[in-house]
Amino acid sequence: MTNNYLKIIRIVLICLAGLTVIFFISKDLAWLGKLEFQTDFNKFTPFISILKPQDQVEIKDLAYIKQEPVWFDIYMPRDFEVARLDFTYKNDYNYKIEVGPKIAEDNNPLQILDETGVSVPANTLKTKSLEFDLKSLPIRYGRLRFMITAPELKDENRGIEIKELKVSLSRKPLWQEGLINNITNYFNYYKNEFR
Amino acid sequence: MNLDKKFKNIILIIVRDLFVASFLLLAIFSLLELIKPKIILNYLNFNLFFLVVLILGVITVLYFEPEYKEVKKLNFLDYSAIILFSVLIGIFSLYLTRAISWPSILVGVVGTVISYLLITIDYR
Repeated sequence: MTNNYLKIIRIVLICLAGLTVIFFISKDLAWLGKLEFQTDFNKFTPFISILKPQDQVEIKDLAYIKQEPVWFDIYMPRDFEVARLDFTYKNDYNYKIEVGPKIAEDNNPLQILDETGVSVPANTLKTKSLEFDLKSLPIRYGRLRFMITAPELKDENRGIEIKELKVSLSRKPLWQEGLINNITNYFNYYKNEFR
Repeated sequence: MNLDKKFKNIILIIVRDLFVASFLLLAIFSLLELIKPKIILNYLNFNLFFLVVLILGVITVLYFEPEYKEVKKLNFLDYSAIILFSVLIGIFSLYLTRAISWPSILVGVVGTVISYLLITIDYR
């Protein structure tokens, strides 16, 4: 009787171990077509860096941007088609804030996160999403750099605060792309970006 | 009293099975990491997982009492192979935990000793 239970426990353990391996592989290969992660910019995470340059940012309860521009890197374990960035932030001084991939010194394809003159009560947390098509963007070593600019920000004491950034990377899920294509694209990306 | 001992033995068998399963997982994860770096590390705290494997291993080595049966005696060649294999596991553990600096040497030594004790557990 006891031996039967032990056999069942062993089978469950083997299944669990197998499922764990499949779970991690499917996460990295984004078989569901999505990879989501978030940060409060307090420290490096495997997928998002801190805000740089560090002397332009102070980490208090929220990440306080005292000078602009600042940037952060997103690390992508495989090829994705679209990146959605959800910012939760405070813009008490109603600056125009733009966010976008940092490609060159100037002429970056920025999108407007917040507009000038949209007055809100102080200490209001806003949330806004921006979407970027990743196909045309230069990803180097699996990394894409995004910059945040607010040209009107001149006074260090009147900065912008970021509470949280959620990133959602999406691509075709496994059932649309097919297993062979999915794995081939994964290894091609790895070969091109990391080798 | 007898029931207590039986229950304790079942728990220890489960702990040993857990250790074997987690050790195999560790080996598979390590192999995957060698093929594609950060495929597991991005999602799992490897040091914590390694600690869990070590604790399960220590409990197994210290408390698990296998049923003794007639086994062949190990000769010099067997011992050499076991020692070599254990040292390889130790080096591998050291390599995997090199990020934590000098404690990784300790992890390597402990890994070697545990491997040796586990492999030879049925021959003692």
